[in-house]
Amino acid sequence: MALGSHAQTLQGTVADEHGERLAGVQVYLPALGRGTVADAEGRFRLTDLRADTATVVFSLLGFHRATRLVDLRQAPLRLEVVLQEKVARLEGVVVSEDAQRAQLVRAAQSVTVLTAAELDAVRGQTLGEMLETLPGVTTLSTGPTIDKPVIRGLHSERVVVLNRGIRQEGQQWGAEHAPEIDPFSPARIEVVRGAAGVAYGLGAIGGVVRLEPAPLPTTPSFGGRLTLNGFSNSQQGAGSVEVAGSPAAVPGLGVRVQASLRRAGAAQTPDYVLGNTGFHERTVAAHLGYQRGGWRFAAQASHFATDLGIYRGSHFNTFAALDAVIAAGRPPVDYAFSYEIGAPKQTIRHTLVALSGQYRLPKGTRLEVQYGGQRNARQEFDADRIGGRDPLARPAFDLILTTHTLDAKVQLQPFHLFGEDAFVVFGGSGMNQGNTSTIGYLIPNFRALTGGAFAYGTWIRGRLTVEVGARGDYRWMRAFPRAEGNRGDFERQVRQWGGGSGVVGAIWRFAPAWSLAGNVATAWRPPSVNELYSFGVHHGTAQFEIGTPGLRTERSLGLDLTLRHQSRRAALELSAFRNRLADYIYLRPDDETVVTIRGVFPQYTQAQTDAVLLGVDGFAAYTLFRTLTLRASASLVRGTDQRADQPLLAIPADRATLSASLQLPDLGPLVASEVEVGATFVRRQTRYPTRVDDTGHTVPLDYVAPPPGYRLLRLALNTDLAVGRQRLRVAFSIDNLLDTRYRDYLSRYRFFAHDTGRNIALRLMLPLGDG
Amino acid sequence: MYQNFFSPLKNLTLVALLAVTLVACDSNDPDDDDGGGEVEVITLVQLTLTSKTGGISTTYDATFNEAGVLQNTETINLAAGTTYDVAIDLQNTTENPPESITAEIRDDEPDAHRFFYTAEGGVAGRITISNLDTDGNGDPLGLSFDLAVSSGGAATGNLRVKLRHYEEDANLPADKRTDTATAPEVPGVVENDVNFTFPVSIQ
Repeated sequence: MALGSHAQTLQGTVADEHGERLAGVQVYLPALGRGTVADAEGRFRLTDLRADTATVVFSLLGFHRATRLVDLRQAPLRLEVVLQEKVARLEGVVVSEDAQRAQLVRAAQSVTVLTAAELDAVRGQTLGEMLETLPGVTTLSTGPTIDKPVIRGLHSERVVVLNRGIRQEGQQWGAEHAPEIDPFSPARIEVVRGAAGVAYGLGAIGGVVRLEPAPLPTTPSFGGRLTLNGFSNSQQGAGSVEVAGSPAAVPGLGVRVQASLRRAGAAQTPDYVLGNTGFHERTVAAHLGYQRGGWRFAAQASHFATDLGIYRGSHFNTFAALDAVIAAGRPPVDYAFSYEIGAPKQTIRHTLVALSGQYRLPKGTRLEVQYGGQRNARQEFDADRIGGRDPLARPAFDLILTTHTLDAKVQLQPFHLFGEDAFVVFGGSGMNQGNTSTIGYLIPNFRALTGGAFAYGTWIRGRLTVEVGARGDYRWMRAFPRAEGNRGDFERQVRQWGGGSGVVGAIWRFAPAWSLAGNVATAWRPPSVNELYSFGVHHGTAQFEIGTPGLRTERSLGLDLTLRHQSRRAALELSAFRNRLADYIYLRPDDETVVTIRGVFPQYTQAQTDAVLLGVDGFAAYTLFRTLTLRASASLVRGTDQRADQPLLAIPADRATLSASLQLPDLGPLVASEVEVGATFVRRQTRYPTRVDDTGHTVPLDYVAPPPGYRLLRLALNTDLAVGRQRLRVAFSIDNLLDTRYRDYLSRYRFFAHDTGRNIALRLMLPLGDG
Repeated sequence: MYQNFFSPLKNLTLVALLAVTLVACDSNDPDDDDGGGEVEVITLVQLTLTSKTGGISTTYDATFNEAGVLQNTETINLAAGTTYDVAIDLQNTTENPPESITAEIRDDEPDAHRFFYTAEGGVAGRITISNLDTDGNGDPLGLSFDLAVSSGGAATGNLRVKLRHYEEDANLPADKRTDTATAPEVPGVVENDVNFTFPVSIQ
């Protein structure tokens, strides 16, 4: 056969990283002077090509150009090409793992991602523990069962948690209310550090935690995975089963069903058991998606249920009781290990339904509408009821929070602006939230309506990316508090708040493997209902907390600079930030006490000040000899109350983590093995607020000076056991290897109990079918 | 083509908007609920004093709101050189009819409760508490007791009323038997359900 004498056909498809077919892609063979344009389904076909080999170029506005060298002597010739978007959608799922460039330009802000593989190494723990490894993230814990992420010193109402694309709306009325998340569900977690109000709305002052499920399969397949975990410390067993598939009979349909169970007994410090700290958590979730042409639909539902015990030694009836336990320094009772969950305890049920529809016009404009419905039922059982009634027979609080959200977004097709690529997204969102309380009075019943509109754009010129965005939000709230906490009728109070958010950012790739990103962002939040109206004793801290109905909105103005490096051997991300919070809402100790039937309590009132948070955080990784990887990460935050000229309360202590992992050679059926040793160093927090007591002495505001620093060691061993085509992933780890006795400053139990001791974990993951 | 494209999107939006609007019409006004934030508290502590010699009973009230905050206490007027029979009553007056907490303690859990009464301030040396009623184990309960005022001049001070509740981790009856009015509270073992003072005036 003579060269070039045969006529070959080249065909295939073009899609983006999310598997979405791209229409209008130019397909060009420069050597032959031939080309075509992909159709609405992203398909292309070129016939009668006469050459042995040829270079094919794929280009589309807004995407990086791709080239493929094809051998035209081979038949049939099919190409499946993936194009990478030039810009990570500001709050969309961001880019693929391999591209260095993508890492460098992924955001003008500090963003860290936990990938599926990284998550697998920490699965089964609480969300806070999973995120703790990230720079700038720490955990505020209320014992072993409850914790919440702290981003650069801010948490709770100042951090938005996005689960399955929907803003998580649970009952976050205090530090002892943890987000209702199944640690097995997310396949990817992204943490945005700093204000992100434009993309995420009210409350994204300190940061955002995005939890993404795995993408649904779109090609005919059936698979899943079975995960089993065991933890020695609380004798916790956890398991999750996940099945996903796409039937050949219905192209474009994808389904995933997942169920998880976690059951733990009381946790243990090196010396004693933390009585009644077991939990029992169950989750079921289903995800259904359908895509055809430019259309995509998805329906998701999940139900999360947990019963968790509260450490029995942490319930303080009076301030005198707290004082006595602080003096003792350890539990007054030798608790026995048990799986039983007695009083005090929390029972939480969280149900989520999410529906979304997306349409992509042939030229690339995308329209998205998303509805989220959530119902959060929380019952809290006190340690004790008056007259000796059974505390488990009736909760002290019984609250139901119902939230509906509706978001709509238009992502315009990329266009030229001053001769360069520009991307614009605009949209709006609405939320209707209601809370009813049938028993107890933790917070008043309320109804809140929130609406917002936003627009942001990205402009890329060569090595420079510029982002600009603005947003306006408005909230109306009608609440039914009791008048001044006194007996009598409920009052009806209506409050309204409005405000704007904005962001300006830029990323500059100043050298091939380096980028510098800068970002100025402002965000705000209205005061939360507990800050406005709480009135009563907080048993965890023995404080009498009083809300302030006249609180104004809190606003942050954040500056963030990030240096990134990404090469084959090294990765670096180093950020410096300054976040100023005007009218920062906090609990201020009063010089008064409250006399109640149970005794005398120190009185705290919700007040406002101006606060500044300054800090540096980041990580670095370097690979030596291809098999040894060294990693380091560190977080430093300084918080100051500017009006009182005092440090802020509960700002995380300086911390750093160092680790080394070594890839081991394959040994029989053991492949992809890796051993890792790590150490976490935490300094004592030396900056904490103080007050002058009755005797004229300067004492820490929260009773006791921060605990000493500590070091923890970790050892981990990961391997794949390969038998035929089947693989079993085995991960073995020991946290707190030396069973070190320590107290973390951000543990609410630090006054009267140590943190947990050594924890040996075994995690097994078995892929099923095509999974 | 645009017709085609907009109508399903519009329908989806309408359905979602409808869902939001429907729930917007409900009311979560607590007055509409049964109970709406109902709380379990002691809102009234009442001491009834009857002189052992005279026959007239006088009651003194201490009132508290739903959050447990002290609202008002009546000053107990005592005559020097007199001994009184005293009975205590605890009620939740937010219920209708008021709920008697005293009856619950007496009937359900007398073994797990103990009242302590302590004279403080200017009346500390003048008042003697004795003869507390007992539980089934013969240990003091204190729903009724004798209060003796010594002879002498006028004085003012306070009478502390403390109700100690022995909980799940308590070792009964030993913990109750050996307990004192000044012992600390221990979470899960013993806590004060009641701890406040009545002003006292001796004439």
